[in-house]
Amino acid sequence: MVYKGWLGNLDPFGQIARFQRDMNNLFETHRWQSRSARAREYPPLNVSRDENELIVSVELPGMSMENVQLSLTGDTLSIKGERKTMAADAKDVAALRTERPAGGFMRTIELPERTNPDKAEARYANGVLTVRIPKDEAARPRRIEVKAS
Amino acid sequence: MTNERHMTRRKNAEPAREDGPFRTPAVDIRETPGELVLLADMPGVDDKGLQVSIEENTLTIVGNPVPTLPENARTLHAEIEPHAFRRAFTLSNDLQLDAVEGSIKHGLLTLTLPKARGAKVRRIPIKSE
Repeated sequence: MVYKGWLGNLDPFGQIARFQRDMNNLFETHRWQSRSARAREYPPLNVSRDENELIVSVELPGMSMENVQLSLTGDTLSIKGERKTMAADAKDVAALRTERPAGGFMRTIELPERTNPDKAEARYANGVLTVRIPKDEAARPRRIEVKAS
Repeated sequence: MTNERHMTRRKNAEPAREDGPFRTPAVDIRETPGELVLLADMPGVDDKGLQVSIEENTLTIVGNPVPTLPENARTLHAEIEPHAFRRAFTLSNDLQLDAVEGSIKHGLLTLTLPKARGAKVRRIPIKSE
């Protein structure tokens, strides 16, 4: 935004805008800070896509997949489970600090594209559950030829 | 927060970016009569990406996650911060710092820090009216 008025070519707001942009860039994490006001959902996940499939990556460290249920429809993905952590109330064990989330969780997300859930594959490695869902063939965009008259 | 000088007793050779942004892993700390147990959530980290180091009384854990996406994938929705994990702790003198053991499985780091033998436990009487 450039202010041009009686000041001529001087741009008093440009400096401030530039400074603000530089400060934002310095603290790369500013994107994440803006989310802190909202309650975060558990477990955290990312949705990505490549040419042929959607990829949902879910962070669930230290879990046994027996405690997780993953279900898909063409439009949504649901993940439900329970995270058990080391018993803190065992005899002679004192919990000095407890930050890791524990307990039941359930989350449903809407998928950004129509998918073919029958061909989905899920893999758990290093505490990350990666679900690959092929896109629905029938929903692929089709080229429509335009005839000129 | 961390000691940027020599990192002694490195578990792995791969360095994380010392100057870059990082994520703080959630940690549980439990104490038993003989040891402290530290559990840290570091999803995506395997033992190649893990660095545990102790310098004087500072314990630093660093985890570099293994990328899981194919090269040409585009992220549509991101809740996961794309940074390495890093956290430092100040340890008490009552621990045997050279007997610390750790392992990482399913992205969960478990560190066992044995207490020194004969560590004194002083009970402090609390008076109330």
